[in-house]
Amino acid sequence: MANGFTPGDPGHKRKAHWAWYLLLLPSFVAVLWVPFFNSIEPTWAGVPFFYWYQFLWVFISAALTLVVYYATK
Amino acid sequence: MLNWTALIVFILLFGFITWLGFAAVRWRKGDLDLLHEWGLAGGRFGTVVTWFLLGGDLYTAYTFIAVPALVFGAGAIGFFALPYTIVVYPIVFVVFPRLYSVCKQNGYVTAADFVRGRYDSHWLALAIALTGLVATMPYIALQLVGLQVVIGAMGIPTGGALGDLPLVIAFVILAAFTYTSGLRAPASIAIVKDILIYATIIVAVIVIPIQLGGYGK
Repeated sequence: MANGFTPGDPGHKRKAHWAWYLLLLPSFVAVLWVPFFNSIEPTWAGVPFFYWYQFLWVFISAALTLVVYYATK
Repeated sequence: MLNWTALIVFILLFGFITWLGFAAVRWRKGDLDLLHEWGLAGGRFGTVVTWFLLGGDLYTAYTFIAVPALVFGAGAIGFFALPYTIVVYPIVFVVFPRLYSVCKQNGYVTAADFVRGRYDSHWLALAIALTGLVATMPYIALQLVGLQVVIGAMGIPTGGALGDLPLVIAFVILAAFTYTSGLRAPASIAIVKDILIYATIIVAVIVIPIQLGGYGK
């Protein structure tokens, strides 16, 4: 059996507001709506927008997940 | 022509990894006859080790060989591998903590255990277990193909039955230390692997553009 501490179970005090999880949605939209970023301009250090935009969202989505993690802990 | 530098580095690293795989039995020692000790390392891996372990699973021969090959052949659409990994994490973040606490509470070790407990059907659990086994096989096959390419790149001939020998040896060693050490073996190796991958990527991202004349070309 569990040792008594189960993070995330419904009995846990101070349950976070469900709206925090909405912060995870931008990652999906930003990265799956291809026509939006399907271009070469604006380039950055010679790299087309298509590529550096997706790399940028690796870090942004990690940061958003971090925020949601601490907000819903 | 044998590439001696690459071959020697490869053999040294492979020898180190083999030793590490067997030595992992002593890491956070536990009774490996218990299934959850063997399969889950008793749940005693912390955040950092789990980070290495998962990283070593996700960013592997698939990322290094399959995706570049796909992008080279199919063009920018192959780059979807990147948004795919971006999108996986929020999904896992929402679902897995709850799954973890339920499994920990009930002592489930595998997805099949969870399904049997949740839906009270051992046929469904069996179906899940078999699906998992079968679904993992192409991934393993991909790793082996990647390994074969690496062996071939060092200049060792890969044709015919004799050419399969290095691959068979590598796989048998891998199976042996995973059998004896359980999850601890891939976890300890994942740390080495991830460091090597970081080093390779950083060097590749810096050196290759310099050789080719910048990112814009």
